Amino acid sequence: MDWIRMKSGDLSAFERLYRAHVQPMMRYGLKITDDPALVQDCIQDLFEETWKNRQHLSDTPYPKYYLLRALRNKLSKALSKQSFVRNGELNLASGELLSGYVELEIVARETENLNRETLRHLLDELPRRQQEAIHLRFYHNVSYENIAEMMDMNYQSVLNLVQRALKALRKGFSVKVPRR
Amino acid sequence: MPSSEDKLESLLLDNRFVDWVLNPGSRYASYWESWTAEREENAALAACARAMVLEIGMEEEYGGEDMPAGEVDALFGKIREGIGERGPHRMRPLRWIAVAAAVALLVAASGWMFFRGESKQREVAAVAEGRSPEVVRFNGNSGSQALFLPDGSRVVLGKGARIAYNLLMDGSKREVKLTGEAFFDVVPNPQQPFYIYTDKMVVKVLGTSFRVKAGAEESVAVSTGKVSVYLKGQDLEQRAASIVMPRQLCRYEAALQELVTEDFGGNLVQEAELAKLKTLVFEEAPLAEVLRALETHYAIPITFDTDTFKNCYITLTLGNESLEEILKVITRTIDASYTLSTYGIRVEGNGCQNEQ
Repeated sequence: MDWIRMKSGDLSAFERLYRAHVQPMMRYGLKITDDPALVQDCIQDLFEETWKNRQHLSDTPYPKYYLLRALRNKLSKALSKQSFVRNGELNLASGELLSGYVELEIVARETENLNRETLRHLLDELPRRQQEAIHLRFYHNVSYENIAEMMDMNYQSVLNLVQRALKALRKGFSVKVPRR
Repeated sequence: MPSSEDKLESLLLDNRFVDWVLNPGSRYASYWESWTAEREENAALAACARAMVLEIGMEEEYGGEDMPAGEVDALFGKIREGIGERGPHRMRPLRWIAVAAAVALLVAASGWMFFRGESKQREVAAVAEGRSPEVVRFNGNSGSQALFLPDGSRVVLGKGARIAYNLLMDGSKREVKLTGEAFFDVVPNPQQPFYIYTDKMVVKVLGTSFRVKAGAEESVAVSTGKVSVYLKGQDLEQRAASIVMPRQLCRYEAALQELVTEDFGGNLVQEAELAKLKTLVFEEAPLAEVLRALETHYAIPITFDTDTFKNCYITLTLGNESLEEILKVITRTIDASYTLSTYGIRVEGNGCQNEQ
């Protein structure tokens, strides 16, 4: 509703869209980079561009998905422009094959010394791409197909990524797996 | 045949299932409802997978901090400026604005990082203190469910409500995360204040009974005593918390993003449910019987060697005491010890002599 109103030039609908989505966007952005100032910058740019191009935007029943995806593109561009690249952020630019290999290695190493850790800790320890996929699927309710699109991966790779993450998280859940 | 783990995994990798858990208006609801009704095994798997999704979601929620309201406003102010509310004809001193924006952003960003840094420290402290693991309790029944918390406080969980807390509620605060609707009757303990965290609000309690609704429409209604309520991320130096008195209701007004306190006349239905929690009296009862009652009383799995303790008998009243107090009394009586893990409580000892 607000999306369509915003497109026709309703500034208060635009503000409502901003207020409804800025927190999820900020949270998602901080999964991609640790730099809150950069995320805020990108959110600002994104909303300014959205308003300026509003007449050319297509209708969407899911503004949240549009905004999260656009934020990721912005952050991705901004991060690749920076001359220095920090550890986790390499994942964003590098090919999937490489990061898959690194992830497997890290997971294998982690399971050795993590026994009774809490879910929080296990989540923090996940490779960044796994964290991102888990965050999108189980916090923002973004479908696996859309995650694949956002993260520029194919559908099956996303499932594999999340499957690996869930295996790593298994010990952190307080619920017991039912036995037959 | 696929294992339970494989089946759980395929539920979590199914968009329709996750949507059903996260989205109250999910169009897959009827499908999953009939699927769970089909077989007992399905219901158990769904409950487990559902809890996992919610646990991840809750960790994601509490693992990050929301941007403080002031920064949300400030950022929108900049966006407004950026889209040129002043009209295109006036020349703007561009460079000056750019510098001012950079300074403002820097200030905003440092506030934000300070906030996040603080929360990380808190978590590290909790780990260093060696706090007990988190327990999640979810009411999947069709009606309300009354239960005890480890500190002896009582809670009535509405249908679909979920609380999470430390197994023993140790630490300097008693903290509960809530989604859904619940009625609390809190045991007073000024040394260890009781906090309830919902999506938007923080409720601080010193010992009282009241109802909290967390979720789409958040509110706190007080029956006896008083509680203070503030918004998550609210700066208490700048704006005082709302004090809510008996027969008042404090709710989160989404349109204003503010807390509004008003009188309320209704009865708190869940209050009656508390009566269902009976005090249990044991006289010279076998230890196994007492521990089994304790297990259901506090919803914590307790393991022990039945053979070792078969001659142990205990006289005890289970009421509003904390779980820790009771465990201490029991283990002292039979000269045993207890340990805690993610899987619950383990009682160990040498058993009791035949003649006691």
